[in-house]
Amino acid sequence: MNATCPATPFTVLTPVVPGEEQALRDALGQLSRAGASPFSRVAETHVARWVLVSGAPWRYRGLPRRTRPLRMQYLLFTSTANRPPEQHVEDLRTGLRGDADAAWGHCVGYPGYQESAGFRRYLLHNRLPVHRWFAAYDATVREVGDALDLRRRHTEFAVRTQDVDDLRLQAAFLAEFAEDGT
Amino acid sequence: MVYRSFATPGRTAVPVRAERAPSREAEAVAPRRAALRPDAVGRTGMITVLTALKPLGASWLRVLFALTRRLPGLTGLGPLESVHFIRWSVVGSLPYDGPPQVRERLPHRLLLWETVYSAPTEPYVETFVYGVGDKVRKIWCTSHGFPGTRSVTGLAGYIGELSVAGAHCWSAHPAATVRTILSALDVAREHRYLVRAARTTGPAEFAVVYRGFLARRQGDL
Repeated sequence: MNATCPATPFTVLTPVVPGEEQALRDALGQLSRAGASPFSRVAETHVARWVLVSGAPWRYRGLPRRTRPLRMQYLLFTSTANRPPEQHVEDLRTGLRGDADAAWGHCVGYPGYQESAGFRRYLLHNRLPVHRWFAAYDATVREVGDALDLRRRHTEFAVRTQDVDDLRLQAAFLAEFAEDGT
Repeated sequence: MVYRSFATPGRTAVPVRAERAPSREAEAVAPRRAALRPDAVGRTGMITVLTALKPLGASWLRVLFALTRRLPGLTGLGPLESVHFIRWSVVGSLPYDGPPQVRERLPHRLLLWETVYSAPTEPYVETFVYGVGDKVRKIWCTSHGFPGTRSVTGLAGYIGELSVAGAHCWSAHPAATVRTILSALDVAREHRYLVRAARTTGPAEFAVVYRGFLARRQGDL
């Protein structure tokens, strides 16, 4: 199934195995330094990120003093994709492969990307509901990419043809864009 | 009020900063003084904030979010054109995955806010204050310490102190702003009609159609 849907948020919070926090930080740091992000291999994904949550990040002036920090550290994963969550989880599994293990492998209960059902069950179990959501556009990643490319070509075409007569304008337009659209 | 400088998403991808590692519990709960430094991937900025909700905050937010789901116009974020995506989650409990995870109760319900945007950070916060300040206030008035939306510096300081840095971030279109993407999608919608006109009309008629397109879309090119 390769169904797309409007841009959909996906949020997962997983507990980090005590003692493996630094290893997880190192692994995520390595992903950032490795050049192309592994998320570029995950279908229909606009944005994605991993965030480490520890201590009491909500602490601020005016908060009652009784607040206490988290006893565990947590890995927060957020993404936006033109996929239903179940399909997006499968895309993450097949797209990230070993990189999923490099990150979530430091989290409690993670089964590994090679266990398809377990991977799906794990991420969906740790999913946080999104109560309110705003997206500026619903186009897929490919539609956005194609539109940006088309806009660039139109801009260049407009500059190139600003002084041509009607006959040449139409001929040039067909030469440039005849393969596009219907 | 302490002056804060704002980082702006640049044109080139930069590695995100590493998460602070609190070494002691006391440090973990101490109020922070971090400047607002969003994670940047090209021109895309990302901010994640966790705030502690007041006792009735979660109930109010559930009503508000249910209302804005039915009437999206109430959110009022569409005209901003600098926001790709925003999500809000009310977090009442933490997922439990068995040992060695320690079962723990949150001391407060939390509001998780994540925004993905494309604009220099300070104007972005200004837009929130002057453009949709009342909508932002309705959501964040439920959180402890929210300074209101009268002061850009105050709100930016609040977000800066509560934001949690990303450890790894990615964007499919790092060089494109929201405005650029919306313009490109508008151009693409008209493009198919232009191609049809080029195939089915004469040169003079097509020139009229094409120049009309340019006049309408010159701001998008």
